[in-house]
Amino acid sequence: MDRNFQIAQLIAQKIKGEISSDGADELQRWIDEDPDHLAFFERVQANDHLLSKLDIYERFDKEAVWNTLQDELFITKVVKMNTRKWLRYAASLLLPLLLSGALFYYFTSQPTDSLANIDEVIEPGVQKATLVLAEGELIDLTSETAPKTMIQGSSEITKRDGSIAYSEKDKDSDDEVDQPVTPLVFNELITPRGGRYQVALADGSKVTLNADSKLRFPVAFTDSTREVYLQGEAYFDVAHSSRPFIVSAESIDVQVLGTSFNVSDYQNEQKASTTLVEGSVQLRSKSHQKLLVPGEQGIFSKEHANLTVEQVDTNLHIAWVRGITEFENEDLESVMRRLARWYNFDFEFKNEQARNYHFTARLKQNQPISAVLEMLALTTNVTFELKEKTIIIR
Amino acid sequence: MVDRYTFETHFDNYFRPLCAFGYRFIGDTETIQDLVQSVFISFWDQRGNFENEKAVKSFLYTAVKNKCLNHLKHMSVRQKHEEQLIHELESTELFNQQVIEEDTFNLLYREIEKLPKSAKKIMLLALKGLKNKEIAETLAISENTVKTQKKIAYSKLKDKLSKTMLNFLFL
Repeated sequence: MDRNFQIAQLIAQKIKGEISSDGADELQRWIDEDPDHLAFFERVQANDHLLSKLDIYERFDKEAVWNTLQDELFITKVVKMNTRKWLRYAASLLLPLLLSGALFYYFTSQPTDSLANIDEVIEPGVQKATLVLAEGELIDLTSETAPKTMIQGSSEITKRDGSIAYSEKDKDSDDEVDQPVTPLVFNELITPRGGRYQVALADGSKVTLNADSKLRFPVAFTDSTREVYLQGEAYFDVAHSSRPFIVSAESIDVQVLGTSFNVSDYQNEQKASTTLVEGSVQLRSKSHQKLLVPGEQGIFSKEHANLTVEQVDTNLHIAWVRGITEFENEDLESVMRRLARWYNFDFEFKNEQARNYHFTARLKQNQPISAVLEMLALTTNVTFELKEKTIIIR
Repeated sequence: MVDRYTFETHFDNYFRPLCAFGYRFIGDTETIQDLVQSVFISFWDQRGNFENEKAVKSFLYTAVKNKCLNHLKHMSVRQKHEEQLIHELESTELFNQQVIEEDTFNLLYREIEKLPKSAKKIMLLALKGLKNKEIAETLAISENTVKTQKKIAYSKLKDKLSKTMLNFLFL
């Protein structure tokens, strides 16, 4: 089977006009193997064949099938109340009552205009970021006028929709650690609230930067370690290399050789965490150090300055990368902080008790904010009001 | 190990070629989309078992083949035509060729997919043989926009595709 893919690669290179001479030899050998191969080779290259193929490809509705799949595999549209055990029984009795109460309240007492135009004022986030070049120049990556390619140090930056990629122009072999030392050139990617962006670093590692975050990284990794600096949250898919990859966040450091993991370290959160999807990572705070295995989450509490490790459902913590927000028994204040980052709004609690209401929910991130608030309001007795760009919780 | 992130990447990359591969045998877009969808569901269920991308690809093509075979074999009334298709699907040599064909075309198609949405739409209409004026009317845009978008598409594809491919796409 692998041979098939290799031959396909060679034929595609041949059609694109970028086949190497070794590749051409290999392809020729395959063609000579069998007269059928020659006939096949000539047929797939013919223009009308390519054209009819293109027509067939366009008939399939990728988006529609992806949406169904996503719903089937990842989404259950359930919002539950606080799941603390002692409350569960009470809830099962009270829920119908609460629900009808909430509905009644919702339909009778809601000031007609308080949330009426909220979806025009507060919108879901989009792919948006600013790139800070080594010379201090700021590039708005969403702007039409942003250059498609840029040169930084020994690397070239290519911009696509929603992502940028770095590649070293004269790349030496990956494992050559003893290269002449050149000073590192740094770039910075900054996402605002309501923004998200992807970057492929010069070593091939991919980083998805969540809203309200900042990543500082060298344009080429010429040191014996690959170190990047993070504020906020990012999902890393690190290319394997003998040179350790270090994510230096504000309160924790994460060191790996090559793996996928999430790091979340926001200034306005009490906890910083890293969640491991595969491979292994070493997690360090100023005073502690822990090794994580897949399925584990390391949590640093800023308040107690200690490091703990928990078994978690990793999907829960990387769902944001796939456009889904998941809450598991999370208090409303932290829910609001997360929503505020993605939808870019401010909020104010006028109902102190509500801060501690707990929610479990899975939401699509492209849902209008009104639908999200409606769900939250339906299962509790909180109400939301909009005042300019601030959501007031009562 | 396949996480959600790589799962979506694989879906993005292989959905169309897998559909096109099965379409040869099933001939109905809806049915084949459903079959491919169910293949991706079982792929997700077995996501722990794949070591590399080639293993993923092999699994996907083979699974679609088996789904098509089952589908054909379960059709209550079978014609000679279907018997021939079943025979083709069961032949390793033909299967290999079809996999090569889809994989080749997919590599080319991905370059077109990278175009901005508006440019891609115009390109596809042009490929169906529509003139600039007709494209402009279909999409309710000006003829000049059509020309500009074509230019953008051309300059983006220039480095990626050989002259023959470009002539074929833009003439």
